[in-house]
Amino acid sequence: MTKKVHIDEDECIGWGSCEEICPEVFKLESDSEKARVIKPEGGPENLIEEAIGSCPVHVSVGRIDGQY
Amino acid sequence: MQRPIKNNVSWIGKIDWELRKFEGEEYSTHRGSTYNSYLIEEEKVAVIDTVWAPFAKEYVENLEKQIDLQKIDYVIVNHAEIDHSGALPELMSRIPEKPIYCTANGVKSLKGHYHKDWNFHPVKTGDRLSLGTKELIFIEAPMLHWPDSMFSYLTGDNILFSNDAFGQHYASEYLFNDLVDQSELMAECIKYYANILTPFSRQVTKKIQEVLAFNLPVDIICTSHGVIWRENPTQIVQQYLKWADSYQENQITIVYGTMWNGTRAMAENIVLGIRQADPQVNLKLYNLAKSDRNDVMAEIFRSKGIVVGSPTINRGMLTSIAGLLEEIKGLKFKNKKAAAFGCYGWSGESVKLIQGQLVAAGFEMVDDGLRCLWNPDLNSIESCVEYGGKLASLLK
Repeated sequence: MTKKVHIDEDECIGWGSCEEICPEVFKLESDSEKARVIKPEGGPENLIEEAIGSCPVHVSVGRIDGQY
Repeated sequence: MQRPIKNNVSWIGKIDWELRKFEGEEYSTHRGSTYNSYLIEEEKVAVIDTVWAPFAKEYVENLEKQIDLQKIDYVIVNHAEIDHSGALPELMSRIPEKPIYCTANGVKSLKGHYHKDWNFHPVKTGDRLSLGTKELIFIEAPMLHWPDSMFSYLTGDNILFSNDAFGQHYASEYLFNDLVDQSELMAECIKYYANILTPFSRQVTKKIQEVLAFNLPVDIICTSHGVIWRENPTQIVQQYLKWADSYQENQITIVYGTMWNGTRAMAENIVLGIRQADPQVNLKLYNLAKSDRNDVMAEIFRSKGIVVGSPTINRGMLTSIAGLLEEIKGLKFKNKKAAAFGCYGWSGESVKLIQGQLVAAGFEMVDDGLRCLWNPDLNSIESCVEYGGKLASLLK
C-alpha cells in the first residue's frame, strides 16, 4: 500500500533539504518560507526517504498510511 | 576553575589559548577559544554543557574539587557537538544514572557520538525544569547550528544559555564582554557568524524574534565559546539581526589563485581600476595561497561584491579556488554580486567554471568576466584597469 507524504507545517523551519533532494514532491515556498508537499501521492521512494531523513526537525516530514 | 557569574551560577569551563584550528583543520582560531560550561547550584544542581574531549579529565577533576559529583541532579546538553559534549563520557562514567536533558535530535547525536544509552530526557520548547525557586525553560533552536541545538533560560537570574549562538572563538582570562578588547571581540564575532552561521540566517532571525516574543528579561547571555555577554547583551542580538539580513558593507573583495603571477597581475590592476573609479569603496585583495580561508570568508561576508580569479589548468580552475567556491556555496550568502577573471595559455575554461559555481552559490554575475592570454602585456594590463573601473559601477 502506498503511503502518502505529509509535512507538519507548524514544525517546519524552512530548511529546504527536502526540496533539494526531491523537488518532484517537495517545494519550499518563498513567501511562507515553509516546505509544502506538491505531490502527496508520492514519487521516487528512495528520494522521499532520503528527504525525510534529511529534515533537521525530523518530525515534520513523514508518512500517513493511506491510499491513492 | 570555578568563576562566579551571578548568584548561584558559575563558569566551570576551559580557556584554550593554544587552539589554532577548529573542527579538525577547517576553521582558524588565531585567538584561541573557550569551551564554556556552567554550574547552577540552586536547591537542585545542574551542569550546562561540558568542554572539548582533550580536556575531559581535567574538567571532571576540577569539577569534583568544586562539588561532590553525586550532588549533581541534572546534566543539560544544549548541543551535542564534541567541543561541548566531549567531557560527557568522563562525567557520566562517574554519575551514570543522572538524567541528561537535551532535544530529541540531541538524543540522536549523543548516541551517534558516544554509543551510550544514558538516562536521556528529551525536551521541547516551553518545557520547564525546576531547580527550586528558579527553573530552566528550554527553547529548541534547530539549525542554530545543528538539528540538536537548544537554548536554556534560567528564571530569576534571567540568564540565557545560548550555546554557540552569540559566541565566538576568543580566549580571554576575563570572561566577560565588557572586560575585553572590543575590536578584537567584534572581529571574532563577525568571523564566527560569517563562517558558521550564515547558512542558517533565516533560522537566526526567526529564533531571535521568537525568543523576543516570549518577553523574558535577559540580563546575561552565557555562550558556549568566548565571552559572556553581561553588559548590554542586546548589542549582540541586534548585531545578529543585522548579519542575518543579507548583510553587506560598501566593500569589494578580490580573491585569486595564480601559478606564475599572470592572474596576480590581473588582480592587482583590477583593484587599481576599481579604486580609481570609486575611492570610497573598501577593497580587500587576497592571494588565496597566502591567505587564511576563514579570514577571506569573513571579508566575503562583509562585501557587496566579490571578484574571483584563477588561471586554467587541465581545463579547470586551481583546486584552492575550487575549494573556496565549494565553501562559499555551502554558506549561502545572499544579495551579493560577482565577477570572474583569469589568465590562460590555450583553452581557458576557468572563468566560465568560476561563474557557474558562483551562480550556483546564489551570486548575481554582473558580466562575462575577463580573460588574458599568457602573461598580460601592456594592453592587457590596461584592459584590466578598465575592467576594474567598470566593475566599480557594476558591483554597486
